[in-house]
Amino acid sequence: MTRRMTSRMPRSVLVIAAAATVILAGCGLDRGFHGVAVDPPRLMPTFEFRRGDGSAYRTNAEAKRPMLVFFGYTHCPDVCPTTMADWQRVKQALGDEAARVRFVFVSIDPERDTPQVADRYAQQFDATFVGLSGDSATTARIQEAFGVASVREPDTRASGYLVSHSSQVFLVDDTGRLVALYAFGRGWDALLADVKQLL
Amino acid sequence: MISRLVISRLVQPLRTTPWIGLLAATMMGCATTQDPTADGPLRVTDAWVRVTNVNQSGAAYMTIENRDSGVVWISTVSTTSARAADMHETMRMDGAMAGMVHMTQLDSLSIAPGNRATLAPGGTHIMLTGLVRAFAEGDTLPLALTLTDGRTTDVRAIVRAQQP
Repeated sequence: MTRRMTSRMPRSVLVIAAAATVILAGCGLDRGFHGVAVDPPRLMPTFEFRRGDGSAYRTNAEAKRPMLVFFGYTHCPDVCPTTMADWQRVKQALGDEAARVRFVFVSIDPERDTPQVADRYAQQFDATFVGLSGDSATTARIQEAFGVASVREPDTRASGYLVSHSSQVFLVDDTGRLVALYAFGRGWDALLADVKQLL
Repeated sequence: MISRLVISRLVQPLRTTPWIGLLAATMMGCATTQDPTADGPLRVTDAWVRVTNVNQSGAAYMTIENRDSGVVWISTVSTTSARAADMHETMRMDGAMAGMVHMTQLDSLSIAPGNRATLAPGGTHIMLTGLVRAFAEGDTLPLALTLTDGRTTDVRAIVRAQQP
């Protein structure tokens, strides 16, 4: 089996990855979370997006409503739909309580993902999921805040380019603090257990 | 060297104990709704793709067993349901880039005789680019796996909302 080799990461990606390391430096497997706890919890800034229907969406804290955040792109064939399918399972398992949880997908590929495309993508998994895509400046700021790195891979295929990106799911509590994150493959049941803690 | 390491991780030897083999065959029969590949060099089971909208990308997953007497190399995947079908592997990075994932296109996939390759979410998969229509749960999506010697195995992947 042969394969193409990974392209070298640009300097900007390494800087963001370093920011992620800062977040992770305060993390540990304590506080009863099944994910990696952020200790102390990190207050996240608020970002405003324009949704596909033209309405505004702000990521500010909402009382009694924890938020799950994932950064991906709609052309992503494997990791992103797998994560969104995990969210489907979490939502179904929560039953009526799921209405209190904000499931937010943020595109790291605003060049191809318009707000309409991002929203439609999220809602194909569940009508209550929110899909956001901002301008490049907003995208860069929210990625930096969460320590999310992304890099567009060079690709000469007619089918388009791929994007390497951070794959964690972030759990933000109802005071707007990032409390835990979940590596890809951690399992939807871990996410479910921790969301329940916050409800 | 790297590619050989990947192969060794992907391809798990089959158990040879007769009764375990019989049990495994029985279980595979339960989990598979059809087996159009029974007489070819490859036996493909549990092929599935996730529910996907038109023009989007998707991935096909399956277990591929080499029933031939020698190593086989899958070099091409084709389908009428998407603009392109390529073999990819999702790689998780570590060190300073921990948490990042990126995909690497595979030129071919080799399977030793008697071994099987598992294509699963977060690992090796067949990337489908530009699906020609929406695929709903219960639909099937045709694929053809072609070996370097030209032999082709037809596969019908079942569309599912969740991994079986």
